[in-house]
Amino acid sequence: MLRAQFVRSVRPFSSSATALAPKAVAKGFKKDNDGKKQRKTTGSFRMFQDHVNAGQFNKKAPQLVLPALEHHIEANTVVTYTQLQKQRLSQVGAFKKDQFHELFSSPITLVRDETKQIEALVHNSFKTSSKENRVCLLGERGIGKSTLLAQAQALIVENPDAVMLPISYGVKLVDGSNDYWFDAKLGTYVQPMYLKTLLDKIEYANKQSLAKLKLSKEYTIEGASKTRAATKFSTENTLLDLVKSKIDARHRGQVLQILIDELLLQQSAPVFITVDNFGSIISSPNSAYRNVENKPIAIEELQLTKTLLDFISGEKSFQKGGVILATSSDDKPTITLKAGLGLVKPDPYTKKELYDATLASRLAGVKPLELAKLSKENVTKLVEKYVEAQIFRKDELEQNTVEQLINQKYVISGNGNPLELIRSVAMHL
Amino acid sequence: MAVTIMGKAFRAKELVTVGLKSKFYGLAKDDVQRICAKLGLYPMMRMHQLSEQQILGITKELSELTIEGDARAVIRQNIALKRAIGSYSGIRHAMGLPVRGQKTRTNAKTARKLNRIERRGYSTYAGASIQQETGVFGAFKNFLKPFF
Repeated sequence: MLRAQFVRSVRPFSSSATALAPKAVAKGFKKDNDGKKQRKTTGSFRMFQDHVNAGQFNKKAPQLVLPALEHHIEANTVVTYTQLQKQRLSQVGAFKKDQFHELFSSPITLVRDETKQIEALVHNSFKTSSKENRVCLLGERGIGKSTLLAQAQALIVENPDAVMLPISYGVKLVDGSNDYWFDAKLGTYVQPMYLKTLLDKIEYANKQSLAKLKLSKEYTIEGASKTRAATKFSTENTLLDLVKSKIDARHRGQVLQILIDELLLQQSAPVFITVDNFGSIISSPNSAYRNVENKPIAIEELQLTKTLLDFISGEKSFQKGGVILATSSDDKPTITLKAGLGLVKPDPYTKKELYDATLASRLAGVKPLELAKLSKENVTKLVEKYVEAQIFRKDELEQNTVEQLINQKYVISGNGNPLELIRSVAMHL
Repeated sequence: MAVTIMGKAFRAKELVTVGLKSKFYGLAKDDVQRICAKLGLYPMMRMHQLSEQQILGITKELSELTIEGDARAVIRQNIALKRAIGSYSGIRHAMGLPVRGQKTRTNAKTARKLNRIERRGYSTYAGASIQQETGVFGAFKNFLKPFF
């Protein structure tokens, strides 16, 4: 033991180890190839869906040659959006994160039978009042309600005269995620932060059409304070000038009010209101906001939701145009929506949380459009394009013929649910 | 950057409703909701979005409520009163045992930890506690302590 300790304590006196050692590399602040050091900070972390959405993976996807989504295109055709449609739809928030658009160089979509029905409605809206063209898209999760709404929007933007008022997430109007304050002049609660986003979207989506529409009379909107000059709009100004104007946040509600009033007056442009996640607006008569007395603010007291309900109910109507609503499976399921659309008859003893008769009555006249599952032919068309886009696993392609793949995927997708179909291909479930 | 309200620091991204409720002893969810409604703060507002005026408003509202040391004092007074009048719950507090009919054969650990005359607050410890003794003899000693 003592010997062992003695041996261990003796320092080896040899220079061979140091002589044979590889030359040390000076450690410096080496940067990446592009010269920028990649740093992970608290803000740079993204959840999977956000990461995929922001990754620009579509740039690596192979190019597909597909026809563009246009009017009078045949059903059961896989199409892509035109450059203009893609730009406008991105700006209005029509492409959602969970739709797997990153798998393709450009978003692709299938023209279904329901697309033809929506196309007919859009065509009708170019000539008739919005009261006659009110529709609500219904269906199970992943059936394609938001996609059909995007297709409708794509057909709308093809018309250079059409004006679109897009609400991409209806839930954001009522869930308390935006600031609010009572505008005494309007007599309603306005949401300045949300209005900023909405007015920007309206500006981007309707630059051409709004520039053609002049104001019918003069308007004056107050400044931020008494010392600030008021903003004046003359009859020479267009609606685009109104939407683009830098108005104080507190008076933004008045801009929307003027815009709606002017759109109601004019006859030349068809005006469309599109709302996604509509079920969340109608699920409760009250919003998450509270007034100074700590009582919940009703959705009829909020400027935006009141305006929407006025047009949905047909109380107000554009001379030409339509209202297209889409529900979401994320929305709280209530009887109000289905009872309002005339699909169910509510039990008189139904709880108030599940059914509000007043709200349901506001939906009278809105036509429900229930989306059906994809047919075998639809799935065939889609799977063929997925093979072209190289989104299938290699071994899956090697072990199966395309026909076998179609049969497999049709069954796995629950007999034609589009979301389940693409998930079964892309997520390797 | 942290936001400071009444000497307490809050993370910038923290929800106002959540932050206030968690940091102030005696402040309930409904109290926070009432304050936010009165000041016009929206439900999903975050700490860094508060203006100076709004922070002052919150401070004013909080100063009118019974929170922190005051709230703890109220609870201690109530327990002391129960003990002074010799009520059953007062005795159970003095014994460091469950007050509301829970079993004591096993567990009752929370009661042993918390039930005492100088009951401590939940989140932060305010003031030095007086050593309390548990058990039957301990309770007798605790009972006699104020008189000697």
